[in-house]
Amino acid sequence: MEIQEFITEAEHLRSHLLSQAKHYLGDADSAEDAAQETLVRLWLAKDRIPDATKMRNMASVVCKNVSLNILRDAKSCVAIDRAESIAGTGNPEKQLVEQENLQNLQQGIRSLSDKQRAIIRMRNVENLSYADIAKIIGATESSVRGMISKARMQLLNQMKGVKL
Amino acid sequence: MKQNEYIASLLEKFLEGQSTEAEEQTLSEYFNSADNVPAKWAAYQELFSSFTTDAYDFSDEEIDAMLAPTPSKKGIVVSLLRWSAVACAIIAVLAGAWLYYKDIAPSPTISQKPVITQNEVKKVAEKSEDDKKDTMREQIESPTLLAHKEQQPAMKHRKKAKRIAEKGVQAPTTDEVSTTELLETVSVLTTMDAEYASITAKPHKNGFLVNVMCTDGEASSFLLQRSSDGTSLKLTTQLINN
Repeated sequence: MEIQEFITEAEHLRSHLLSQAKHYLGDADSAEDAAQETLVRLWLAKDRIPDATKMRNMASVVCKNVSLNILRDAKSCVAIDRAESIAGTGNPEKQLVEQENLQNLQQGIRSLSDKQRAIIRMRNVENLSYADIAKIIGATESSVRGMISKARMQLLNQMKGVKL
Repeated sequence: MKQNEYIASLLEKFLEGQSTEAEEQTLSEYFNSADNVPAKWAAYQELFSSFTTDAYDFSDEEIDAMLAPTPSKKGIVVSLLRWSAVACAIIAVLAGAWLYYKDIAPSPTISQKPVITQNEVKKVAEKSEDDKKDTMREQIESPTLLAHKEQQPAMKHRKKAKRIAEKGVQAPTTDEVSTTELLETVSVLTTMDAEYASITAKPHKNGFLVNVMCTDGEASSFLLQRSSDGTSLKLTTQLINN
């Protein structure tokens, strides 16, 4: 699916996703998060989406899963896999600075949320504009910039030698 | 030096998410081609070089997981707990029911021969000239309907009736009707939601006179008449005194 086709469909889907997520989650903020997360996932899976009809069907299923995950995560404090990646630090004293940086960066990437990782990927790997990313995930451009800023700082924090 | 200042300002905007697409492109080109990147920017260089790798890609498995529901370990444990709770509740109910019916099935009888059953109870609405009381009322429901309607609540009262029976209800002198059966008959006939204070039964002519005193002050009397062949009891008169 091409980017313009995706954006057009994402704009149509957004209000439906918001109301579906609100049905599960109750409050508007969480519903907003769920709708964005759903669109991020669809974007990541866009190669598997042949047309708009299929996208609509997938969106509904993914949105339900995302909403239920948010409900579940709200109950448990720290995801265990994430806690491990934060706690586990290899053998830094034996390694060269660059290798350490690389390792820390990879660890940093793993510690990003799927959404953060996907957005950074859209901007700096896929080279999409901020405006297009905003349309794809159904958010404002300034909100996308805020999310990207937070993710970049998180990555640099993970690497040694960067003081913010 | 001037270039470094420019790069420094771009990096600041980059980190704050305020850089334009073109500025980020400039940074990317700088870090991927410059030979003498200052050591303080080593981390940035690493970051920009990572954008040219597959470090941010999502694997097929990750995408599969995103599209399908992902039950957590905790979720499985919780649902197991939930189902075992349901199973325990069902077992408890079944066990309770078994104990309950086990308890009431072999009801103590005075006589071996049951002569009445609920279905045989027949009510003959009859204005008795002998029992003239101001508050006398007649029940006009048909006997079959009555028996059917009150069959279920009657079950509840069996236990109560039995308890009263064990406490020593005045037993009828005839040896043909068991106390339990008589009390069952009465509980079918009386208002089921009332809490009974006492039930007494006395032999009366060719049958029984049954008095039910309820805690809410309602009292009922029944005259049960034995049929001519002695195989069934008929309710001949019912009095409800409020």
